[in-house]
Amino acid sequence: MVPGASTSSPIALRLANDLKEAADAAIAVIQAVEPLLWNQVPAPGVWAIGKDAEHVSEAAIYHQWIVRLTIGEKVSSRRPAIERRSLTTSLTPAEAIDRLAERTEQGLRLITGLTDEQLQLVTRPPRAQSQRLTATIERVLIEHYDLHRRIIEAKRGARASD
Amino acid sequence: MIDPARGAPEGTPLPVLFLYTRDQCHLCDEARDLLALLLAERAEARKPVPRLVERDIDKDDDWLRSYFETVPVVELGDRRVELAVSVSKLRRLFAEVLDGEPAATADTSA
Repeated sequence: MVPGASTSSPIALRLANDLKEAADAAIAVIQAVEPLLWNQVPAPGVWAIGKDAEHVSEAAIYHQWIVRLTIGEKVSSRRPAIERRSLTTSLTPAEAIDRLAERTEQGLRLITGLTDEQLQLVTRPPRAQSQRLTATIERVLIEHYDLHRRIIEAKRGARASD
Repeated sequence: MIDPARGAPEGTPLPVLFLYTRDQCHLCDEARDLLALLLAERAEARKPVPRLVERDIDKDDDWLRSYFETVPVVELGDRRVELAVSVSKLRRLFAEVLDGEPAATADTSA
């Protein structure tokens, strides 16, 4: 159960629980990364595992911006930037995990406060097939943790069999 | 002939994997992440991993004209996937172009 959940919307609670599970799983995988692999670029142009970890926390801000924009909160009209050029991170594993946990908590607070009406809003900026906020939270916010967890697992697996 | 060690046709250079994107494109973010996953999975499975090159369509008039309505577009060899946010379609593209599997459908043809 998500701590501090106060919404009456069971959908919001379910989404928050799914987000927490996805984040916990991602953090567990990040915690298990061998120190030598953290900033090792697996191939030319490919992010190091640490960069994937940093990216998930960076993207969380962008994804929360989508939710805030959709529900009409006053936010910048320009989406938060995501740095993609650097292949490595300046964060230590502990720093990356702390940042990810903190931003996940922000996301949980945001989601648990959503009403059923807000969850039915059409996502902004517009997405394919006029996606509702519930679907965006599932497909974008939650899936992003899962996707990068799988990427990190695959990168670890590739190095383990070297 | 397929080289069993690498999966790609023997003696054939690996095609470059192109991803056509534009700034502020959320579907492009999804495509980028899916490609990262598929490439990492291929590396883990010891399959040939093509080099990924991203192209911003706003930097070339031809790309902009061609892909304005269909970014993200993924191109591999002579095959193309438009609005490329389906992991199964991209997986299929990789299998057909890089692993020599027979084409299943015509919807990824360039």
